[in-house]
Amino acid sequence: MDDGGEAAVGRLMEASRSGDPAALDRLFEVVYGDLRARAHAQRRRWHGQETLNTTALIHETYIKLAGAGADDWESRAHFLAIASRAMRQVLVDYARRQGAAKRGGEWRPVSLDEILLDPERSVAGGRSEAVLALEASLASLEEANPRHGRIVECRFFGGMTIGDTAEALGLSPATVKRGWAVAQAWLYRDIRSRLRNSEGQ
Amino acid sequence: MPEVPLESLEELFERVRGLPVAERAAFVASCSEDPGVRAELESLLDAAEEAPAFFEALATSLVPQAAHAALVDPVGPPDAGAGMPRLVGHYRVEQLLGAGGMGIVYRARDLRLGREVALKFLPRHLGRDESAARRFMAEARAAAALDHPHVCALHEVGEDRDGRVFIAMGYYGGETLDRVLQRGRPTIGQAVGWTREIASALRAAHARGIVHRDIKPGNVLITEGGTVKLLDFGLAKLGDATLTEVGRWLGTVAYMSPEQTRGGTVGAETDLWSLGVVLYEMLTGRRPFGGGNTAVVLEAIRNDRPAPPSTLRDELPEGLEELVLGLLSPDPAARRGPFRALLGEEGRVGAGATAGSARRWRWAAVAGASAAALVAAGTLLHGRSSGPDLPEIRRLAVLPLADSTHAPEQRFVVEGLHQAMIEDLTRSRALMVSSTDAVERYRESQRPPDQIASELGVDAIVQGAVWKRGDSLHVEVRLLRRSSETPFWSGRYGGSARGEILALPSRIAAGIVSAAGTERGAGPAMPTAATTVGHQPRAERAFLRGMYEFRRMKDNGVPGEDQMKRRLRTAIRDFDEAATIEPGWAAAHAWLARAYHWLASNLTRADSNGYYFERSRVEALRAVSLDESGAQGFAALGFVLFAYDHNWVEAERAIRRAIELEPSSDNHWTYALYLLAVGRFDESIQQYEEAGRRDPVSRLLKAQEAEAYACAGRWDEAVPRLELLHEWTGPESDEGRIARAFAYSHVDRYDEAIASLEGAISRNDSAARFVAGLAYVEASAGDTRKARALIRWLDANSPGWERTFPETLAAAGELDRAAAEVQRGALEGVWSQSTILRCQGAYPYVRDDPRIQEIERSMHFPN
Repeated sequence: MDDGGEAAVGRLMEASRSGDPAALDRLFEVVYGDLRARAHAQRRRWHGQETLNTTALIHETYIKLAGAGADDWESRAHFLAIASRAMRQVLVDYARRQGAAKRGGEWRPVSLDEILLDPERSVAGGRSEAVLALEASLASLEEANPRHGRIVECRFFGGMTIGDTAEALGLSPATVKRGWAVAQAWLYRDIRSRLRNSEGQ
Repeated sequence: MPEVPLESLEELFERVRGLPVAERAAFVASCSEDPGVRAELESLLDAAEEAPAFFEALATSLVPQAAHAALVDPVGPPDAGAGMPRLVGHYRVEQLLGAGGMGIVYRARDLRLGREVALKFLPRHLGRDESAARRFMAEARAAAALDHPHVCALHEVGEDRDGRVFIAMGYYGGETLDRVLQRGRPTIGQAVGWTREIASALRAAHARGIVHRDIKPGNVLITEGGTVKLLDFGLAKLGDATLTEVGRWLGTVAYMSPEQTRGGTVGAETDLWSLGVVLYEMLTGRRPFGGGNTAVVLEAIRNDRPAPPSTLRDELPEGLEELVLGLLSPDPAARRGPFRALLGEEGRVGAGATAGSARRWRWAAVAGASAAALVAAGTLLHGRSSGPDLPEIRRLAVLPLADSTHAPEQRFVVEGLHQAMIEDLTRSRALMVSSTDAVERYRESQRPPDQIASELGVDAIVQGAVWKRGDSLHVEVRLLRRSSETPFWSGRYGGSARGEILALPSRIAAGIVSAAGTERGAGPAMPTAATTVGHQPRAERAFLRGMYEFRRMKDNGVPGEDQMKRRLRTAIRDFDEAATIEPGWAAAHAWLARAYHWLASNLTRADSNGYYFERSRVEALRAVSLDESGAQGFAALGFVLFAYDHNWVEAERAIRRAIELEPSSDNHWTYALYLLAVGRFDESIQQYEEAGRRDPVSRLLKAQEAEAYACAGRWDEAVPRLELLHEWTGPESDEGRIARAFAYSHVDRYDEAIASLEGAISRNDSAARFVAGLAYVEASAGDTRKARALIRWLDANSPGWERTFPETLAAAGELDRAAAEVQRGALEGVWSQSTILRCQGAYPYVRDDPRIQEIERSMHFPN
């Protein structure tokens, strides 16, 4: 988002809070670019699928967002944090469907990049399983440590910077950095044991 | 055991992560009374090693996968039960084309794009070996990215519902060379023409570090149009894993090189040997190393010399026999000369060959060829390039090329060529080469060459011109010694202006290195840059445009921020386009990474810094994974690792690797910045000197070197350097003015500092940076009242000014704000501010602030 964007977001949030139904759409338009860049960044790490797919992801996210209600948005960073949560939902939904489809014997194309950039074999095949394991682990992390859950949402699902995450969650950047490091270790440990258990069955 | 909440652990966790590995166990053992806490900490510490890689890997595939699933309807499973699958994804299988050790091939129709393809299913056991499959994918993918007219196109790799991996490739009709040979010998013209086509495909592949390893007639498709398509890149490597256990390759030992039969690692030369065997067989109708069984053939390959082809076919043109036997040299290095001769591009023939044989080889290649050739020849004008009476050429400058293309709107092509020549020469390590920025000022210069050479401190200079003829681009270069007006070597090179522009520089560079006579003991003279092969024309043009914009960014010495951002954004768009069209092109990703980190580290509004650093990292990793010998990728990665991640150890490793690969001014410069950031000031100054030797006229470099002296507190040495800079730029220039004023104030020359800044303020409409500079000087001089008044003015008129000048706040005693700014800069990776943590500047004032101490701890600076 360019320099002018922030003010526009502020105004639109104001309008959205005061009940202007079109504000949400316009707000999304403004943040769209930013969000799209994030999704594009994710995509660029991976290459392969057409740009269209990034757009599809954003649209999905938007649908979730529109359902979430605009009242909670206090700032651009806060908006991004909400988008991050939406992104999480979108991804987990897909993983569930994907998992179901796989059991049903579905064929799907595998791109070269997808194979090359497959997560390390510790995940023991199948990203959808990894996502579902992450979701399960994240849910149990959140129970005792809600703050860490939010940090993971912003950093991992939303691809937000430490600065944005700190602003959105009202924490100091140092706290975010610290929390993110420890949460990653905690989650990885938990996911690893989940995947190992499911392998053994 | 009750679960230990993370909040109570995270501080311990961070502290222990900051310790050297050897000290961690002791820390954990004594950090808490609670055994639960200790156990939990230990377990988390263990997980923390792999966690970031796991999340990174997951993130890379997650989002697009989900997006993809949202868009693409699942295709129904192919018809099961039948021997031949009828529908595989969006391919309808139509005909079995062949089956063999490396799989089954069908002709199929791509229902989405309506074209014919060849579908190859890998044998199940190969698909199962995941590490082998990954290696294969990497290589096949790189080969696909070549997009070479004589390499079979690779469309897609997929997996059928049973998990069998298939490859969709171009379908060209025609038949493989082994079938052609079953019917008899081709004509000599056909044989040499096909050999050259294979050779040009191999050259492109080798330049990217891809070795075919299985050149044999069965992998050479002769299309219906009579041209060659080389098949099965990557499969040979996959086969390596199974070679010994299965022994499937027994049928093709005949084409193996001696080193391959010994089972060790093989280089590109193995393909040259195999190509020699294929050429021999085409010419004579016999394999050079025949025999009744595998053991006999292997024995012959290792120990025998083949019968001269002329004893088997009598109308061979002169020199062709020597060329074939040259490719079949037991010494791998000796095959390169004839290979280059085959491609018609040798400047001088490699070790052991006489000038006479070189001529004959070239003649043979030209005589036998019908295809349009890249003709290149280097001519030694004075008989010899070095000798006891002539000083060795160690330093060289390539002046900007004269543009005779009459296409000013395509100036970027000529400039891109020039830059790539310099890079390739630098990579060859044989010579110290002046940077592109250093020679820029001599564009169209009328100064005599010896004067230019002396100003640049080089032993020789290269002049050149570029012109276009039809669809091809030609370059003529001349090499002149410092002491002489006349060139002692000249070379002409040409190639298609559509996709082959970037193949020229490495050939020119090889010619220059060879002519300069400095290749002795300097390692491989042929640069193996990622930019040396044919490219898709659109990608190549985008890449050249990007390089042009990137260079223009630095046009006016120290660039203004707006100009820099504009140029960088344009460059990013161009490199991104090149990388999108040709995703396997390492150099495009590397330059993209570079442009991103420039943008990230030079924005004063730091909002997006993290984002650009992340982008830079992704592109750099991509570049490095595509080409392990690409210096640019390592340099960019190193930059992100230190400026953003503060991963000092890995950053240093990456940057040093970049310098090893390409000891360029830029790479030494990056290292200097790193050393500055970690507080190794004297080493940093040394690196600036290294960079300066290659770029003695860069003002930006000189300015930053002066900053290193300032950081080291060596103000009395910084001052004369800043003053020299000032002489270069002229008394009215504001470049370096603030740094100079700061330096003056540190050597108690306050009056000069104040006068200089006040002058600039009145000339520049009260530009904030000079006001901020003045406030610093006033505060240092002891006039805190005046400094604070200036700060209030800045707050009112230029909000955000303090991001660039936290030291002004610190000097004026506003320590709280200064500390907050340094903290912000450190967290967001604005290098100039993270550097401050170890430099003079604001740091001495705020070092006791708990925020700064926390940041400094969290940065884990190496000791």
